[in-house]
Amino acid sequence: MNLDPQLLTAAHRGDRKAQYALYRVCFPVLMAVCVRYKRDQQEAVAAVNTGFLKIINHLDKYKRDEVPFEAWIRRVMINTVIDEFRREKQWRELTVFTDTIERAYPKEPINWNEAEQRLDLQHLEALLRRLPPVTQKVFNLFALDGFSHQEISEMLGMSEGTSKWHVSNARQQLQTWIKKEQYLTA
Amino acid sequence: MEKENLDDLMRQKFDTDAPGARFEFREEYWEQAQALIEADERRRKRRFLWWWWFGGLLLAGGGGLFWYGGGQTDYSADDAVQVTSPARKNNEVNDRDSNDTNAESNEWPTGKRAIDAKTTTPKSSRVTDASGSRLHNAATTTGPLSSHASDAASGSTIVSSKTKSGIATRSKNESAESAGIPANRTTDKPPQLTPSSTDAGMKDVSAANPGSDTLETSASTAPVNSLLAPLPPIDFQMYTFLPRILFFPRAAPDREIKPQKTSRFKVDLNAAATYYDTRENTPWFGGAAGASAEYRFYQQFRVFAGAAWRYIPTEKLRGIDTISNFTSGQRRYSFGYEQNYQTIRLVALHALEFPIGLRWRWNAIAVEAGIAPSRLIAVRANLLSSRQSSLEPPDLLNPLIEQKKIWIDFNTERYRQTWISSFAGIEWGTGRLKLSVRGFRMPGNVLPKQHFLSPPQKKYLFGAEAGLRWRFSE
Repeated sequence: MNLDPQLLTAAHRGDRKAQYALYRVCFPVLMAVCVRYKRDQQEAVAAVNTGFLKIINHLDKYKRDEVPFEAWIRRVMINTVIDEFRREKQWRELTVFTDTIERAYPKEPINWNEAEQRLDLQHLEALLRRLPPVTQKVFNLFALDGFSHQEISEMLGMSEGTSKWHVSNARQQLQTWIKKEQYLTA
Repeated sequence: MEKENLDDLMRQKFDTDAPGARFEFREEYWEQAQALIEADERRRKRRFLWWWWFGGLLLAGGGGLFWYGGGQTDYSADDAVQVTSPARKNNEVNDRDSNDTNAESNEWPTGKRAIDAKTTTPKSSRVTDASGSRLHNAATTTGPLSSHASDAASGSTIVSSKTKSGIATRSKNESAESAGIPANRTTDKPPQLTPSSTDAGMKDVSAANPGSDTLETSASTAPVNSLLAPLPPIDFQMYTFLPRILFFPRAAPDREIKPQKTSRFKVDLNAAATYYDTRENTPWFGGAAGASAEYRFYQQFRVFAGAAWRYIPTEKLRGIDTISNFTSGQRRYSFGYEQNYQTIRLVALHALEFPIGLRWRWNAIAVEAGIAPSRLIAVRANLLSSRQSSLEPPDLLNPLIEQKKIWIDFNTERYRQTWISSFAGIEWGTGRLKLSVRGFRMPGNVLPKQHFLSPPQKKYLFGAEAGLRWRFSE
């Protein structure tokens, strides 16, 4: 993603046309991050807008020589999602999802080659969104965005052990669902 | 090693993602973002104006207080000069009596007590010690003074004293929506855009993967791959709304996109009523008011700092810091005398404090603790001035003239000027208004030394205060 520095400067200064242009460029990248962390598209768009506001307010801190712009806005977006997550902690902790109780399926290994061919990106995103919110975010941060358990524990205000448990739980859930599909379609 | 396979599968899928093809840009999204940006700009402007307003208010308040205090000080000083001038005129008449007393210099420093003066000038102390308290005033005499003083109560004692120098004058403080939003709507085009390599890559991947459409179609309609048919469609409404309605029926988040305030910095105004525990005396009631700023630096932890004016009453303490000044002299061309008596009784201290502390907030409750370096800025006193032009009892023709005034003195040299108090408290509130209760401890010698007959000074003063805090932003 190569952007004209003048466009970034104008967007930071408040030029609405420049902000519009930047928004069009950033939207798909930010949306790809948000759909993994949010539970529906509406929430994802709201998060994108909040993240974009943060991006244009902090464009002066972006150093184009050190990091690619796309990576920088991804990181800002993840931070925004985590900030929102912390703010919503009060109701989030009381929310109980009961659909995670699954019946046991035969302990046969998953054929990953077959699964890779069968599962497309939208399906994986749908599976991720079925996870409980905290588990979903921890798994996203660890498996897909490359954060360590220590970093996740600091970001989300939990212990490293809890972070590991969430990742393990997410893997179990995802494997169960994939097996279920494999079993049903076999 | 299934877990690695799962992680690899996920990573591989998402790394080859082409978001440009999957997520279609819509103008309505930009309109929502634009509304958010405009709200943020308005908030910044408001914040800027608040700071200016607050600075102006502080300046006006400080100026008003300064002007008011200066005016009062002028009154007392002028009055004292007027009172003592006849006595000076009678010096010649009283010179013969002054030889008998052989008094030494009777200088009245502003910071010394009459008790001290008594030890150095025993003969003149009968006059000055009449009140048994500190002498302080000012422009009463400047130059040699020899006068006959008569005790107002008995009318029998006549003491002549001679001063070599005058009384030091009391120092007085005489110091003095954004109109620029361009009409860029959906038809506006970006002014400058460099074609990005990522976009090109996205299109390539999209072409290779024709089954991938937008997110909406994949979530709500039947999947392209027939193997996925048994997977039930995800009901987002159930996942998001049902638990919220169950647990927080009234606090269900609005679906509309609203501007979210992400600032960690908050400013507030506060006011409190204070109770001081003086134990052996009647309790006092004072107050405090000010402004503070808070910064959330880590999760629930915040640091705060501010400035506040504090009113510390002292009037309930018996015999505290009464300043008396008594002058007497013979009236010219008569055998009568005139007496002037001034009493300044300290009633309160005005202090400026700068609380700094740590606050830990959990939902609606916050616990806080900190210290408050303080500076005494003024003392408040009641000034009683009486004047009698004859030794005869007051009557209609010869009344006793009394004047009472509230007197604010910015000369605080005689008191402890700086101190540090510590405090701890708890706060409760939702939204912008918070109710707080604090306990605090301050050094006991903040108060002026009491009369020598009073109980010994306490080492510490304890107090409690209850107040309200109003935030400018939630």
